[in-house]
Amino acid sequence: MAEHVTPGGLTHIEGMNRQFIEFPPVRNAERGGGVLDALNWAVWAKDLRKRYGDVRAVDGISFGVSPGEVFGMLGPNGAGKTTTIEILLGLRTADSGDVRILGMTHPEDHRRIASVIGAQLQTTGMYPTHTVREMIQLFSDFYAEAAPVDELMDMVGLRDKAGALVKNLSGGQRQRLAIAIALVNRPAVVFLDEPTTGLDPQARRALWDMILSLKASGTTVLLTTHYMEEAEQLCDRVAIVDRGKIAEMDSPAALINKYFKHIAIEFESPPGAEVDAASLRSLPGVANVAADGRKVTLYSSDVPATMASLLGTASHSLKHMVVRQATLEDVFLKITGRSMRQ
Amino acid sequence: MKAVWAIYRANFREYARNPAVLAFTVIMPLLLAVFLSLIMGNQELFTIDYYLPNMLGISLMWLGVFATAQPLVEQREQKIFRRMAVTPLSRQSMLWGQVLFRVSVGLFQAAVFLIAGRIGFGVRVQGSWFLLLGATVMGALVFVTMGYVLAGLARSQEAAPVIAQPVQMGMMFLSSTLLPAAMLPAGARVVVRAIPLTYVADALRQTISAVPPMFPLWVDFAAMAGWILLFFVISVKLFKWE
Repeated sequence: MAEHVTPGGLTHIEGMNRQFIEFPPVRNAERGGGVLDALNWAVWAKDLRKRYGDVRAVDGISFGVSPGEVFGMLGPNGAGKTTTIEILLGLRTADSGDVRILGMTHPEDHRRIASVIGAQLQTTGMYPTHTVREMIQLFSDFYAEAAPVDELMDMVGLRDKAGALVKNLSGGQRQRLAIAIALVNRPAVVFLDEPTTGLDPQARRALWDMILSLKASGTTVLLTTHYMEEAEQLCDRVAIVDRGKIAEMDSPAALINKYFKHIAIEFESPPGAEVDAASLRSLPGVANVAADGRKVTLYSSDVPATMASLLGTASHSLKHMVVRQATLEDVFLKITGRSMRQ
Repeated sequence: MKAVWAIYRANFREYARNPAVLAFTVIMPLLLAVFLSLIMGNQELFTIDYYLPNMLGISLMWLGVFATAQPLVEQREQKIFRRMAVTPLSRQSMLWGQVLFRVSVGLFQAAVFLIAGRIGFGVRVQGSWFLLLGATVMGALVFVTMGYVLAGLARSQEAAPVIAQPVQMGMMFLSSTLLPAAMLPAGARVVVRAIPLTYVADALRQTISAVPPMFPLWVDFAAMAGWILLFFVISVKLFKWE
């Protein structure tokens, strides 16, 4: 294989699109920094940009997903997650930037990429008068090889709905069907765009288990979510996306540790009362204060001291008070100054 | 090939499980043929021999409107084509599956009309079966390609009927399928000659029941070929999968 370096600094190997690529293990030192070598990543994006009119939907997003990793893009609606995924899938063309999926790129390798990836889009795209079984079979027929339909229905718990028409499924069932369809070709990389939105808690847990078993079988998963808990449970690494940019990218534990060495004390201030952040910050032990509407969060290094003086001040009704470890939600609030579900 | 066949079957299921579309493409035009020939049948020209091929022509037109343009717009809004774009299925396979399915619906419509005409009214095919097959396939293709043009013009599900209804109503009345062109005012007769349904119906009349022709049969075929080509070119420019 001839090797040459393209002007963008990418190592490009001729012939790499024509064969499966064995991935060398990615050393931790290479993550996050250094040269992003496109070939080491299952999914790789460099400086993606996309604007709609005056809106910069994606404004310079770069990241890499290692083979076998579960990678989460975390952010509120409109942050640019879906546009990024659509660019990675070749459904949209970026204004600028570079994409490699298993070393291949759009549009020249589009069909080759499509045959080894799976995708669940937010708009599910199914024939309303097809049954669950027919819908899975239809998509199976688009691939040279496919998993058995029964196995896929079992995976998402739709076996007893095999004969039900798509139009009669609940939102959650439709979502699970979309995920089964994303897995028909036993993909090496799976893209899941808000996979648990609309699922009840039980189905959400079941889907988490499924994603973890995909991970255990070596599948690379890129998912978007606006559930912090989901990202913490599932993802090896998360990128916090806000206004078209990646604000932070690391493992959930590292992010929480980076921003919060403190315990969070959360409560609701009474309606109409101004939150006096300055006086709260002056309470003993308080390192930081975040206010989001009436919801106030204090980050304290000395919880007993903070609590004692907080309970001593009569100005706060301590409704809905919670003392907890910091979560990704706190990280998001701290980085962006806004809460996730606004 | 497997993928073309999969698309074919998928479209067939959506068609066969939608009673309204079945009614429009088969039952309604057949009933129209029967009623019109019963109401007008005492006048020499307006017999079942006249109306059966004409209503087959209209049923092919409704294939283009109700079983092509409308589902294409719906499926585009349901993001079905978009989802399929993330699979190795090529646009060509998708298009082939869709068009082959619709041409076979056209053949199915012709079979239903001929069987009903034979059983109900003793209509026997007067012309060549081969030319009848050709006229049916060409007629179906004229309106299927027209369906892609209409789906290209209609940006939304709500817009589809607004665009399609005047087109199909106009063609119905100005194509000599309800009334012979000779009975229309001179100005309208010019329009008759510009409408694709005129040639489809004339070709079907000549091959099924040997009603006096409006044009030589080769003119009908040439006109149908011209319309297919024209609609194809326009649909390539207008039709969007997403």
